Amino acid sequence: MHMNNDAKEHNQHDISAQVMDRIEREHVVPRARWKFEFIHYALLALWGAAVCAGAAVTSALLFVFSNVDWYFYPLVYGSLTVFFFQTLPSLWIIMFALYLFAAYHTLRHTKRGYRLPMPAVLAVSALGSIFGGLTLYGAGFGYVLDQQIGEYIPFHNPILMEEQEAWTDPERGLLVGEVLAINEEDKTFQLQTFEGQAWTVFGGDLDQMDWQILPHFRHVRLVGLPVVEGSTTTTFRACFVFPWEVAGDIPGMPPPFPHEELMLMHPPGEFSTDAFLPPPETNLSLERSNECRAIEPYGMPVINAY
Amino acid sequence: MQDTDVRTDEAIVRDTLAQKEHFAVLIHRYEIRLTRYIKRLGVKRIEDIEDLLQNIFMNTYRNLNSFDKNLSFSSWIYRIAHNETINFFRRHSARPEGNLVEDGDAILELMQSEFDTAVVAETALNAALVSRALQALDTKYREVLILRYFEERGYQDISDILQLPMGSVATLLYRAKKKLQHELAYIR
Repeated sequence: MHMNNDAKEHNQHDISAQVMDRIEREHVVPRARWKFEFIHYALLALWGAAVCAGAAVTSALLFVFSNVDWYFYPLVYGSLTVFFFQTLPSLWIIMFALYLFAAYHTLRHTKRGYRLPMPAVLAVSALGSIFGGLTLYGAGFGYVLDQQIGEYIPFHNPILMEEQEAWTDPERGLLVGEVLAINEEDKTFQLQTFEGQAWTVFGGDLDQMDWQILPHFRHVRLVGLPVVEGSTTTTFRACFVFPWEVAGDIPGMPPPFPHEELMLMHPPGEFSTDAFLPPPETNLSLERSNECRAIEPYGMPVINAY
Repeated sequence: MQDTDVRTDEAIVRDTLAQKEHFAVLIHRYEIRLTRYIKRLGVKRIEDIEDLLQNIFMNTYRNLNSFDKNLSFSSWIYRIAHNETINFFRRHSARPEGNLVEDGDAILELMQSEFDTAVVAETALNAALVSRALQALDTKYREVLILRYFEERGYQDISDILQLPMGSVATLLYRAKKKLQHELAYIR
């Protein structure tokens, strides 16, 4: 026993001596504290950057969801499935997931980050991104990211362009553009699409509410029928008119429509979103022409071009 | 040489940063415990154990300024030992080959505290069987059982050593015990 203890003590002394000798021989010194602090704060900063990037992407997601055509999807896309896959903002969803992943891993590798449960880290990071995203969306950043920057990202179609393309389909009875001139006597008005094509629109089937929308909204969308004249078609018979609105664009930009003016002219509630929807279908057939009677603003239009 | 130094580990760290000779006290204090821990993790050859110990203490010295005072020094140096041992297995593409039979008391305690009496009655006489079952477990389950029952560490210490949330430690331990039961039934 005494010899075993001596042997153990000899070994201990050896290891201790070996390590101290190596420290001396190799001139090993403890790494400076500031290097460890720098890494810790750099990781924290990276986590913050990931949350901010997530906020930017959230604002783009909010912009997409607030500008997607929830009301008119049966008319424009035909089915819920097509609507879902056509308008799904896959790019922003994937980027949000990637930033959340980066946020989790950077925070986890800080000094005491490993103590935090994964659900808590993900929840805090996601909530930070969502609240930041709401703020950025209110400031118009979602519009900038999806519309102005998103335009240059490969395989990504900004939502406004997606909607404009879907609504510029006169053969299916859909048109969208800027109202240039209104002639109430002839019941016609001029419309220029976003692609620059000029259309003469016959509004004989439009009701009083529709004619009030036209002067107050710079951009409108029409549901109706193209009028074929010879080999060209630049005349359109409008059956329904709806405003073309952009939600979440940059505050201070000239609005596409003077909402405030409209609100002052008419009692509150008269021009709520619901007020721009056509009256129940049961009344339409009596008020519309033969051609427009077949047109349903929410279902697939029956085209009877003449 | 018995450890007659009454200073805390944290005080010795502070003194080491001022004068490196104090580090020998920490080496002396932790050498035997870390040797036992490395063996339990599965390092068998004496030469490998000595090399690993040297690397562990060298890394400890180099990273002394990163020691977080909110941790116990013991957990911190065990973390370094754990990481160095895992790196050793990866570098040498080696499998852990530890033998835990000499830790018979710890094994018995594990069995008595966690399994029903029928299982305990049968296996209490056969620490070698339990040791074999432990070796058959995945590394993540074995290392958490070793820390809990052989190193007698609490959940917070295990969390700091393995750098996992406490909830994950609890889940790992629960699953490790289930796997051990299953492995024991299979071996028998």
